[in-house]
Amino acid sequence: MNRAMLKLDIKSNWAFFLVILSIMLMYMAVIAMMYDPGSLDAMTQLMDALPKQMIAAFGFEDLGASLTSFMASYYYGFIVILFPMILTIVMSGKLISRYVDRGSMAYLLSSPVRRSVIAGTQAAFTVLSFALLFGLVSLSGYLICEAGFPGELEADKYWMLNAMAFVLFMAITGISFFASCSFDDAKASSMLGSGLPLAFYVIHMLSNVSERLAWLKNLTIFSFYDVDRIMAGEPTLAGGLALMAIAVCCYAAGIAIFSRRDIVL
Amino acid sequence: MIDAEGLSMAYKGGKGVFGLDFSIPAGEAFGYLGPNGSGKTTTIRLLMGFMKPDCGKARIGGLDCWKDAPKVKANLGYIPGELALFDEMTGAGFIAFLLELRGLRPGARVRELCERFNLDPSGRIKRMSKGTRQKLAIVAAFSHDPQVYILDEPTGGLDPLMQNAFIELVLEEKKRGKTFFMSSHNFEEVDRSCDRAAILREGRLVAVQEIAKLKAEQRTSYIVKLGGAEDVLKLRAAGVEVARQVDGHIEVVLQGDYNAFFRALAQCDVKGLYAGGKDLEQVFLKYYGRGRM
Repeated sequence: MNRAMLKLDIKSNWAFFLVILSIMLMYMAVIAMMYDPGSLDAMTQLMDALPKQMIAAFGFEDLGASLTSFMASYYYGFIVILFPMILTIVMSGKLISRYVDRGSMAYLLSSPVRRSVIAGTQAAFTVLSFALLFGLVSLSGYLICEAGFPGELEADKYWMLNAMAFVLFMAITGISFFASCSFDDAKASSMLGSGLPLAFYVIHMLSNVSERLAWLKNLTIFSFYDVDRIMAGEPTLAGGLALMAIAVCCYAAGIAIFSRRDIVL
Repeated sequence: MIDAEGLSMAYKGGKGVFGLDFSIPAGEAFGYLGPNGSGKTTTIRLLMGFMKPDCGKARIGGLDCWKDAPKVKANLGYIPGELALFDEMTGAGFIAFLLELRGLRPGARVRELCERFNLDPSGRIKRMSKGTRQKLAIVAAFSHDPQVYILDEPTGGLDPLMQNAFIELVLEEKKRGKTFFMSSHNFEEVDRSCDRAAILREGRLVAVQEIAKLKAEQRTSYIVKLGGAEDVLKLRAAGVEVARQVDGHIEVVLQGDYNAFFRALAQCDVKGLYAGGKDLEQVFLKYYGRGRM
């Protein structure tokens, strides 16, 4: 890791990071407060009024009777994917490919800092940012739930949801990072780096809509992050390990490619 | 200090550089001349280790430019041909950032360089004019006092006063034993600061010569405005080379034969006389052939 690079990364990313973090915290608070065991029927009625496929696509199908399953379907089915996804797209573009595309990478490469250190710093910054994001979100969620409904949260399932969401985003940011390292042209890298995760997400949504499209689950990495399995208390180790493997491979390959390829500056 | 041996690198379109050989001793300023698209920047990309040569080798201070790139750059100052500075930073922030990448801090040398180029680095780079950005790039390249400089068209966008300040700086640094590799498409720029120059044509070196020798081969172009059509014939009759003729404006090209030219002019009705273009192909016709004329 290079300190000067890290400082630059923080400077150019903190504002947007804060926006995403505050939106996620706000939703966390709102959704946790919306939970009211007495008025769940009203919610269910409201949901019935909306087209079923739409609700299913966003993962709101099972509203759940307990606080944990309520959070799982509301927050961990949708919010926890959408906003970190936006952060991934914005951040991955800023970290490597923008410098190459604009040509200012020439200045970074004219310094004695190794290419592997430049790419490694950007990778570490991404991982740390997402660790901080998920750490803060899950901790505040826990505190909010404990304050509003003491003892009602099933802590083991709750932490598992957060851990799996974090690992999912290690894989997604890994793909974006890999793309960012591989192309001279920012357009090409965002086609792969943002396009592929978005395509995975769209496939995931489609596969939720109907039984006939359920086979699509085999085509998206979002299936490794299986909220239903976690809530049912079934083991999710294999999915977690698969996501970790994708993450490690993508980050390592990104750094290796960036260190060896010709960069037209 | 800077050596190329059979250095070659081809792009997909067939352009590139082919079999470059040159050797620049420490303390020399070496000009690298060629028209746009002849491979100057490609050579610099290879020297900077941005790209790997297909074959051949580039070395700086005995170190391989690709394999030992980080070590090479510890002692190297660079100005990119296309300035892509960090727009969101201030000038001072940019210099401090580049020095920090090297584990250094801005000091007296940066202040002195800013004064020399009359540069106020406190503003945002985004708001700076082209000339100011170029000055900032120069200050940044010289700020860590390296042994070797690789400069891609360093005076682009500078006014004549600042060009002089730059040439003075190069000459001073050369006295301190620094080595320069400077690309340009303008012979005059190289003429004033360099000891030797290479001439590049379509990716190949066509000459590596002392500046004094190149000067003897240099052709100068003038644009003459003449009163009558018969005056052109008089010039041609006197053996003056007429390169172009547009509406009574005549471009003539000279190579040392000033007297014949002025004797012929004395016979004509001269309405005006201007310095002509500095097209490298015109200046060094010997190396660029007659194909383009």
